Amino acid sequence: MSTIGKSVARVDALGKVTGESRYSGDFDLPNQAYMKILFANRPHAIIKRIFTEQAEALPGVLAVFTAKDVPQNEYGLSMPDQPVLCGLGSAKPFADRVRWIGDQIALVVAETEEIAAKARDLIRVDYEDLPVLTDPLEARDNHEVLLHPDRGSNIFCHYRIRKGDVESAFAEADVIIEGEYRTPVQEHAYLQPEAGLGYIDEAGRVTVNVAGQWTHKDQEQIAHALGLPLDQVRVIYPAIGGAFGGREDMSIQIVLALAVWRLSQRGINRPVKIIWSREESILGHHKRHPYWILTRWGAKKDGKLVAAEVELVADSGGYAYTSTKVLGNATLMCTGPYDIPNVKVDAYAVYTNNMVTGAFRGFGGPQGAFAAETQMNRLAEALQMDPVEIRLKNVLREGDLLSVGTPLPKGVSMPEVIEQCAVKAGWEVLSNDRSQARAIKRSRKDAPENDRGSNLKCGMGFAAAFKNVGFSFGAPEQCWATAEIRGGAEIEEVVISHAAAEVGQGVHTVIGQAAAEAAGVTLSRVRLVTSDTTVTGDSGSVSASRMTFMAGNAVKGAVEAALGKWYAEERPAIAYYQYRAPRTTPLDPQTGKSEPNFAYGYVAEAVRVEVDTETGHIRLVDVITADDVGKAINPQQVIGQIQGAVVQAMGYTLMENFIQQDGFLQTGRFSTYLIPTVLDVPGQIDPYVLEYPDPVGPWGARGMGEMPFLPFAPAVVAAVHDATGIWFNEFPLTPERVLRGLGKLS
Amino acid sequence: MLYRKYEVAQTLPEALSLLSSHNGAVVRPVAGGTDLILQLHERILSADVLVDISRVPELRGIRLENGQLVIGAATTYTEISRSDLVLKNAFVLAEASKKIGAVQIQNMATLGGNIGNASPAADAIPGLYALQADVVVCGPNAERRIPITEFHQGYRKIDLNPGELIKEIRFAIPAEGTGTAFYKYALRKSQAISVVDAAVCVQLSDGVIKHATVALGAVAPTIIRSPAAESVLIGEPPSEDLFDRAAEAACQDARPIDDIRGSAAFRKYLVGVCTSHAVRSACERAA
Ligand SMILES: Cc1cc2nc3c(=O)[nH]c(=O)nc-3n(C[C@H](O)[C@H](O)[C@H](O)COP(=O)(O)OP(=O)(O)OC[C@H]3O[C@@H](n4cnc5c(N)ncnc54)[C@H](O)[C@@H]3O)c2cc1C
Repeated sequence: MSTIGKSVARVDALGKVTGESRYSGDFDLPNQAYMKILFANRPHAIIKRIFTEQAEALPGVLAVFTAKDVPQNEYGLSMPDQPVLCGLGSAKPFADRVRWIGDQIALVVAETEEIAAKARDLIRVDYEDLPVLTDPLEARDNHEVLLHPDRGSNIFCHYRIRKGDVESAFAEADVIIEGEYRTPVQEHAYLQPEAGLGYIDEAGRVTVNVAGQWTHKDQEQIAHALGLPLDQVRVIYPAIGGAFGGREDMSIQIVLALAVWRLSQRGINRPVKIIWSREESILGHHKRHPYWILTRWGAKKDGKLVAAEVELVADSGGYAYTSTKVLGNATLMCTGPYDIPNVKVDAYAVYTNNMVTGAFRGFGGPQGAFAAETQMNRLAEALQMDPVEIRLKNVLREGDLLSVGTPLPKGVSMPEVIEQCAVKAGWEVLSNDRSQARAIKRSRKDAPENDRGSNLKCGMGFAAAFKNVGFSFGAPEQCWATAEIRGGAEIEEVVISHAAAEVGQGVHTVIGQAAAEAAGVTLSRVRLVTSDTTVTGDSGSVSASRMTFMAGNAVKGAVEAALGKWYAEERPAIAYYQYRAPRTTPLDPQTGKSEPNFAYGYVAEAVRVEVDTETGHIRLVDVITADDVGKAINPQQVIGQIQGAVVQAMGYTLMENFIQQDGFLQTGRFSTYLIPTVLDVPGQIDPYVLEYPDPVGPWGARGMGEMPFLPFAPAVVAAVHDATGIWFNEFPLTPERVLRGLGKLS
Repeated sequence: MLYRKYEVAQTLPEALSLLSSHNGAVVRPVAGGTDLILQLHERILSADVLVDISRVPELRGIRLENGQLVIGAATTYTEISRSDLVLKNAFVLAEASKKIGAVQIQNMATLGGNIGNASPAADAIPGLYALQADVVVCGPNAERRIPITEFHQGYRKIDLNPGELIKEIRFAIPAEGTGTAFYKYALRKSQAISVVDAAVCVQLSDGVIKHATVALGAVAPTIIRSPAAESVLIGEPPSEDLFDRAAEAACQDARPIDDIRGSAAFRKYLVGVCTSHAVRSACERAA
């Protein structure tokens, strides 16, 4: 009767298919007012004055709020460096500056959305423009123009890894490959633009019904900015239309709460609603970090890596968001899942006046993996060695030390994952033993030959990656769940309360399955109470591929504890349970020595492309992806995540071309920022779900929502090289970039 | 509000009178609305009154009249791409119609709207240039008939007076032995604006190209013809070498610019790609 490992129907499927599920934009309350936000639309300037009188005088306008109305005018997930509203009259130093075009300046609340928009346009702001920094390398070295003058530098995070002695190792290397790589910005493009309804609830709490990824962190940030005790703020998540990391930071949460609260202080007790347009969404939330990566790897003739040196610069835009954490991941992953005795890494996160950047599926991993895997593929070429073979010679195995001087946690499956992916893609692996590793590529029977006269060139590329599961580098990692078992002689109902955000990934179904399994009942007896800070404990965020792992363990623990009480005849039997993950430690400031993560997922991908050398179009013929998920709690959902990640990675690699100029956005809508349509997706995606259990994961599960994204771009770049002989060190591989690389454009 | 009043015309005289009966107000005709509504949203245009012409029978449908094909301005792309008359006589228009946006857009959007919007990247207009079509315009008092190349006067500038409507498109049925083709280059398989496109008509006679028109989109302020490519083609038998030479000649006539979809150099290169593909297909269909 076990439900673990079964593709049970999603608990939210019916509601979403029938349209019954409600998203935050679908909620209305009687007498609600509407809010519009005035954005800076300037990349770098000092606000001299804000004239709100005309807006306030417009009939139908209830209030206009600016910086002076924010008690603690600051927020930020990794550091509170961002004003809630930029402008005058708050105590926050330098809050009178705007640092990117999406900075928020004023809030207008009015009887209708139309009046609010009209009033917003009546607000005049006098600015004194400042020099605009858009090149992260220049921003790093520029000490005259500072985005945050109180910090003395545009660099707000620098990690170092010092392992062994890279210089002597390079001196002994037989081949050295140098690379300079750039990875692009990416927009999350979730289906549901930001929306919310704010109100004062029946207990007098400032309440927001919004879409986010971590109810309790939203609550904390709202309470901090408003200067309210935590229990005076309530955050509720209904159905959420996608997130991908893009809802980790604040967009409308604080300002919506602020407006409702300030209105109520003026005796206006009215709900306030806001819905961003697609254009506001693209302008108003952060993007994936673009990285510049300069790197040098050395190996012996036999393929054994001896040294890697990497310098990374992350363009973080005007504020930190989660940049420090993203940088930590990139620092670890930029040398790949390989055993390298000598490593030197310097990683910087810097402020610029470009779009703010933060969490996005993979969280620094795709950027690091692009450099690492392209280096490996180029080393293989230089050594005339098979790309799978060189990986098997260097891949991290149980007990090997990471660049940060400690081993991976137990349950390392990277060698097996590489081997299985390679075999599925047509390789023969003669030995997967480190010292005698041997792999040969046999062309698959169905693989087309390259015809000399044709414009169509086929190629195959391979890449591997590892992705942490859970918060890294010493961040506290815990998850609460409550189980209430009801019934008499038999269990009639198991009620689980938790705050895991259902952003479309299916976590509520997984939680239901975990509860049913732990209680030994059918899924139909499980009821979920979800994502409301007044009734659910802190589950942490749906990020870092962590929620199946964390909530799975928390729910299992809660149900087991409640069962203990049940057998002791308590009715109902209620247990609160907090799961704490194994400890991790931060990077040592000098050497980077650390225990970075408590669990990982392992992935390898082989991609076959067809490059049209006349048009520059790249067609993905097939994608073979082997993903060690530990245990597929719900196999259909796992496959859905793999396919979704591949399609999103495909947009990142081939199509999504985010253009900024002098701090202004050129691709602020979906007619100019193109993402794949159903006609563009790969001809075939073959997911191979592998199950090497994680020793501490629930039922052996690892997190897996991000990892299929990581090796995709480097695998495609290798496939394009296989097809055309050209290495691209930058993407997206738009047709224009491909044609330029092929020398077709003057 | 995007507009104050929305009127639905049932007949052509009613449409014309609605267009001129709102003194001082900005009145615009709307067909599918797939350009206009977006432009109102983005405040590129404004309007007080919209006159919906999408149901006016005189503006709809496709018919043969004295050796001419007549397509009503309010005919949708779905109707055009399914029309036997078009498929048989002006395949280029069916091919272009299938490449506009995606199915939802093709069900709403009209040929007249594409002409009225006059984007230099409009996908239906190159075919009309290649077919040497005329635009028939009607006003409260009279009709005018203007070659499409003259109707489009400059960047988004058309020869249409206030109170006038585009009524229909007319062109002579191409002679026996004619093949037509449209080739669109975009950055995505559907729902993407052309980076460059080309429409071609060729008439073959005894294995030699007797007549050729080549039109290019998104490489100048309006759709343009390429006289250089046409003169390369005329009098020659089709061959890969000829297609290459026509492509090269077309590049000389193109005057593309840099924008977010591509650089001028990229577009110049694509003119060659689009032209050679379209000419090759047209010749195959003519044969
Ligand atoms: C998602 C999307 C994708 C698109 N993809 C493409 C594409 O691939 N290729 C392409 O070329 N276009 C594309 N378009 C643009 C648009 O669909 C076409 O230009 C279409 O032909 C416009 O027709 P319509 O009937 O919707 O015009 P409307 O929006 O109704 O009108 C357009 C303009 O013409 C005027 N007008 C309309 N009919 C007449 C008339 N009979 N007489 C006088 N003036 C008139 C209107 O006043 C308005 O100024 C796309 C649009 C969208 C929204």
